[in-house]
Amino acid sequence: MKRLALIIALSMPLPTHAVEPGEILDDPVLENRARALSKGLRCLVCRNQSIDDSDAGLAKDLRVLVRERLVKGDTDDQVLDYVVDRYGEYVLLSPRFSPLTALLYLGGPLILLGGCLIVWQQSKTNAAAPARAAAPLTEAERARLRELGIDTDA
Amino acid sequence: MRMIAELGHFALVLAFAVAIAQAIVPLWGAHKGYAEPMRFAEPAAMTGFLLVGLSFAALTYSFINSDFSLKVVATNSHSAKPYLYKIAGVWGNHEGSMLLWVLILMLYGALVAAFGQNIPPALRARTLSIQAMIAVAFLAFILFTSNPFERMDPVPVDGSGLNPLLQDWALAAHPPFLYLGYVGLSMPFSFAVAALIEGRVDAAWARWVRPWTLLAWSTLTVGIALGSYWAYYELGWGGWWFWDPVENASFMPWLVAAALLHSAVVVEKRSTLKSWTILLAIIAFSLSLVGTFIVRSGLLTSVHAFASDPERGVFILAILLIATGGALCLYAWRAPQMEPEGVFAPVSRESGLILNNLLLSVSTAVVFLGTLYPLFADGVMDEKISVGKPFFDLAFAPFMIVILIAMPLGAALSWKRGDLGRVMSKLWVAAVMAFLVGIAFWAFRTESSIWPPLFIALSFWAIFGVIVDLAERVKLGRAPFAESMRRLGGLPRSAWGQAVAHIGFGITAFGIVGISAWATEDIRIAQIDDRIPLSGYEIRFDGVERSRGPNYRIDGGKFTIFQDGKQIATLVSEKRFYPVQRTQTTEAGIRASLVEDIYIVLGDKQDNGGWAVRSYVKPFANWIWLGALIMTIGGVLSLTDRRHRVGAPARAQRSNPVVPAE
Amino acid sequence: MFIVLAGALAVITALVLILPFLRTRADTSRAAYDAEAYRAQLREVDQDLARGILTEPEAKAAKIEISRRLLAATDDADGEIAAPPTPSYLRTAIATAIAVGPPALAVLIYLAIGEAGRPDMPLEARTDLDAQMAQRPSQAQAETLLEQNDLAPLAAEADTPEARNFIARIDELEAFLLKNPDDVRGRRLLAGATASVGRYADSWRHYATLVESADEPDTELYGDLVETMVLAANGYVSPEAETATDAAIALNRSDPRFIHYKALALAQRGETEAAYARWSALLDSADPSTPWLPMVYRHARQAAEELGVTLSIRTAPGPSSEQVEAAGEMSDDDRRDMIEGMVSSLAARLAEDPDDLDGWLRLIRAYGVMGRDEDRATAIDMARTTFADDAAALARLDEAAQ
Repeated sequence: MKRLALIIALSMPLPTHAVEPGEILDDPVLENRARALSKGLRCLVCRNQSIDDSDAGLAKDLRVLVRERLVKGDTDDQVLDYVVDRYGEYVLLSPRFSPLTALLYLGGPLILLGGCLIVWQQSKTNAAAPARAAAPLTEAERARLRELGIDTDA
Repeated sequence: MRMIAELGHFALVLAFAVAIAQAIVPLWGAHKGYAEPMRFAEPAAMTGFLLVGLSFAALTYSFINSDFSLKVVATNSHSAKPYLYKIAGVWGNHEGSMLLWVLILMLYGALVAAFGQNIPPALRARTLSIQAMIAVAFLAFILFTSNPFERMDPVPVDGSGLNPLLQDWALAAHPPFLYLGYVGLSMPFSFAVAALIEGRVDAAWARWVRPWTLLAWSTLTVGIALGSYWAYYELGWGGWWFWDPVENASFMPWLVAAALLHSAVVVEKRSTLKSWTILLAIIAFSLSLVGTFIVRSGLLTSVHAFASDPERGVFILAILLIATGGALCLYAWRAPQMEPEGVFAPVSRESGLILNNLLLSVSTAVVFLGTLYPLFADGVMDEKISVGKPFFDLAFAPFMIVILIAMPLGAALSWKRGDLGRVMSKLWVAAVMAFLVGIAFWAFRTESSIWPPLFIALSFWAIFGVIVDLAERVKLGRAPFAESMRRLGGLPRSAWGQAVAHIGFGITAFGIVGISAWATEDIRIAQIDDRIPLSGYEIRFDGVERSRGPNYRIDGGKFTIFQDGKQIATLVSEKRFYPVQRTQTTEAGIRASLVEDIYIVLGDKQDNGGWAVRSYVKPFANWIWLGALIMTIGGVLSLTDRRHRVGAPARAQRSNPVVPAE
Repeated sequence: MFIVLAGALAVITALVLILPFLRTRADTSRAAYDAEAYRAQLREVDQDLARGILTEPEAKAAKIEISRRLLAATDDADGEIAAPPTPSYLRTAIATAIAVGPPALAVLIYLAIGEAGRPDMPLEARTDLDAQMAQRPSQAQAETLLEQNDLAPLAAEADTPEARNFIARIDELEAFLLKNPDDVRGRRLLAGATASVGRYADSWRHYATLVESADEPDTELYGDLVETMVLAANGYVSPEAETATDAAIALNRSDPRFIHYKALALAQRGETEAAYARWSALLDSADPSTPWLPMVYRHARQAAEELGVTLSIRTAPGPSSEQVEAAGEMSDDDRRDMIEGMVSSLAARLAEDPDDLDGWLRLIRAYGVMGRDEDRATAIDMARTTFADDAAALARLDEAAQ
C-alpha cells in the first residue's frame, strides 16, 4: 500500500535544483552551448527529465562531462557523439533519425498526408454530388410542412 | 455504534449489481422495442449514482474522522493533516481516485437520466446501458483489485500519509476536474456506440451529444491548467509543461475532444462528417482510458515502471481493449452505412472545420507516437530510446502555428460556400494590428531574433481576428453604435462562447511564446548582501533564516528586489526539509504580475558560507493559465446557450396514442 | 443494526428499480424527438437571420435543408411504431428478476469481500472515550462504557479442538465452584484460566474473592488482581483498582508492577508530576533487559512531554552493546525478538524526534552488532543530514561510522 502513495508521488516530477553554480563555465558562449546541449540529454536515472533539469548525481556528472568536452574544443555534434558512444541512443531526448525511429518522425507527416488525401477524395465525390440540397422546396414538400405547422414561405 | 465504512462498502457492491442490470435490461428492451425495460435505465442510473455517492461519502467520512481501521486511510492520511487535505486525501491515492472516477461516471449517467428527456427513449436506453457497461468494468476493478474499504487489523495508532509535496491546493483540485473531463468523454462514447447499434446518426444526434462534449472539454481544460500551474510554482525551476507521459495522457483526450467539439458542429448544422465524428468520439474516450491506464499501471514511468501491481495494469488494459476494440468493430460494421448529406465547397466553414480536425488529430497522433514510441521500440525492437521535450516541442509546434493562422479565417467563413477574399477584406485590420504588436515586441526586446515577435504577432492575429470578426458581425462602425451594441447583446451565447474560447487559445499561445523566448535566468553562489542583476532588476540576497514547521525544517532565503534603484518587493524563497520522509521541497519566492514573474529558488549552502541562488524572470507566464481560464469560460458560456437544451416532444401526440395502464 | 440498514438500502434500491415496471406507458416515437430538434433549428435560423448573423440567402438555404431533414424524419416515422408496452407476463418476470437479482448478488459479493457489521473506529471516538474515562468511572462503569464502544477485550474464540476442550474445562470448573464456593485451589485455577482466554472481567472478580478470603495478604494475588482489573478496563486504572494497588504497595513497595500501576493511576487522574517521578525512578532502577522497559519508557516520555521536561537519554531503553551481549543468555528466538523490538522502537522514536544524537549513535552501534549493514548505512545517512550543520555531532557520527 505504501508503494501506491509512492507511485502517486513519483507520477509527478520532483522538485529539483538542476544546474549548480559550481559547474558554470566562465565563458558565457561556451556555457550557453552547454546549456542548450544539456536540455537535449536525458538524465539516465530520472523520469523524463533532461540533465539540465535534474539534480541526480549522474546528471551532474554528465553536465560536467559536456562542459569538459566543450572546453577541449569539441563541436556540439562531437560532444553528442561522444556522449552517445558512452551511454547509447537512450541518452538523447530527441532521438536521431534512423530506420528505428523513422516511424516516429514520419508518422505525423504520413498521417497528415493520408488525411489530406482522404479529404481530397471526399471533396471530389462531394463536388460530384448533385446540388440536390440547394433545390427549392417543391409544392408537395411545402404542403407537408404546413401540415406539420411550419410555414416555409416567410 | 456506527458502521458507516461497511455501509459504504455494501453500497458500492450494490451499485455494481445494479450496474450489471442496467447494462443488460435497457439494451435488450431497446432491441425488442419494449418501453418499460428501456425506461428502467433511468432509475437504475440514478440509483447507481446515489449508491456510489453514498459510498464515496462514507469514504470521505472515514478520512475526515481519521478512521485508521481502513487500510487506505491509514496509508494515505494522518491525524495531523490539515482538514482540507484530509478531504483531498480521499482521491489522493489509487483506490480513492478510482472511486472518484466511477462516481463521476455515474454522475454523468444520472444527468442524462435526469435531463435527457429530449433524447429519444431507445437512444437514451442504449446510451445508459453502454455507460453501465463501463461502470461494471470499473466497479469490478475497484472491488476486486483496489478496494478502498479494505479494513486493517490491528488498527494503527496513526496514519502514514503525510507526503509533503502533495499537500497543495492546486494538486487537490486537479484530479476532480481532470476526471470530470476524462470521464465526461464517456458520454460522447456511449452516445456514439448507441448510435452505431441503432445504425443512425443525424443532425439531431449531434445536437444531443454536443453539450456533453462541451462540458467534458471545459472541465478537462481546467484540470490540465491546474496541473501545469502546480508544476510551475511547486517544482522549483519554473517549468510548466514537460511532455511527461502523465501530462500527455491528459492532453491527448483534450486535443481530440476539441476536434470532436468542432466536428459535431458540422454534423449538427450540415448532417455530414458523421462517421468521422463517431470515430472521434470513440477515440476520445479510448485515449481517456489509455491515460487512466498509463497513470494507474505505471507502465511508462521508466525507472519506477514495475513498482506497480501488474494485476491492476492488466485489468485496465483489458477494459481498454474490450471498450475500444468492441467500439471499433461496431464502427467498421456500421460506419459505411452513414451517408454524408450536406455538400460544401472547398472554401467554406465546413472545410475550415475539417482542417481544424485534421490538424488536431494529427497533432494528437504525434503526441501519441512520441509517448508510446519508447515502449514500442523497447518491446518490439528491443532498443531503448527516449522521446522527450525537444522532440515534442519541435514536432507539435508546427500544427499549432497552422491552427493559429487558420482559426480566425475558418471562423469567419460562411457555411457551404465561403469567400476567402471577402473574409480577408474584413480581417485585414486584425492582420495589421497583429503585425504592429509584433513590431512593438521586436523593438522592445531588441536582443531577440525575428522568430519570437513573429509568433507573438501570430497569437495576436488569432485574438484580433476573433474580435474584428465579432465587430464585423454587429456592423460596428457601419451602423449606429447603439445598434451595434444591441446586436452584440443579441448574439447567441454559443457564438460568444466560441469567440471567447478562441481568444483564450490565442492568449495561451501568447504566454507560451513569451515564456519560451524571453525567460532569463541567473545561477550563482550568493553571499549575503550580494546584488544579482537580472533583466532590468536587481535582486539583493538578505540572508537565510532557519525556522521549524510542524514536521519540517525551513531555510527561508530573503530577497529584496530593486528596479531603477527603488525597492519594489521582498521575496522569501523556502527550502523545506522533512527529516522523517527525507524529502526536500521548495517553495519558490514568486513575484507574479501580468508582465513577468520574478521567480527565486534557494539552493544549497556552500562551503564558503554562500548559498546557491537561482533567479529567473519569466515574461508573460501567467497568460498561459489565464488563456486556459478564458477558454474554459468560453466553453461554459456556450454550454449555457439554450440551443444546447432542446425540448422534449410533447407527450400526447395524435399519431402516438397513449396506451392506458392495465 | 448493520443488517437492518444494509437490508433497508437493498430493499429501497429494489423498489426504486422496479418503478418503471409498475406503470406501463408507450413512448413517443423517435420521429417526434427528431422533429423537435429540427423545429428548434428552424427557429434558430430565424433568430440568427433577425440578428444579422446569417444573410437572407444563407438562411433560406439552411431552412430548406433542415425542412428536408424534418420531412425525412417524419417519413421514417410512418414505418416506425412507438415502443409498445412489454407483454404482461414478461414484465412481471423482469421486474421480479430485477427486484431480486441485484440485491441478492450484492449480498453474495459483500459477504465474500466485506466485513459485515465491523464498526468504524474514528480517532474522535477514541478521544471521546478518553474524556469519559477522565471522569474516573468505577470499574463496572468503565467496563460497560468499553463494551458500548466495542473496546472491551475480546474473549478467545474456540476455533481449535484444543481451545474448545480448554473452554469446556473452564465451564466445568465454573459449575463446580458454584456448588463449592469455598474451594480456594479451584478458584485460583479458574481465575488464571479465565484470564488466559481474555475474560478479564470474570477473572479479576475471582481474584478479588481470593484476596478477601485469604488468611494472610498475598502480594502475588494482589498483583494478579490489579493486573486483571486494568486489563478488563483496557488500560484504565479504576478507583477500585487503585485501592487494591495501594494495599499491595503497603505489602511490597518495591514491586515494579505496583509502582507502574500507581503511576498510571496518578497520570490518569492528572497528577502527571507524581506519575513521572515514579516512572523515571522505575527506569533508573530497572534492569536494562527487562522486557517491559519500553512500555514504561513510552509512558514516561509522554508524561515528560506534558510536563515540558526532557527525559534524560541515559534512561532511555535501547540496546547497548552490553545488553545485546546479556541477551546471549536467552534462547535464540527470545533474544532476537527482544533485540529487534528494542531496535525498532528506538528507530521509530528517532523518526519522530530526530534531534537525539545519542539515540542515533546507539542505533548505529546496534545495527552494527546485528550485522544489518544496509540499515546501518541508512541510519548514518539520516543522522548526517539531521546534523548537517553541527560539526561536533558530525565528528562523533564519523567516529561511530568507522
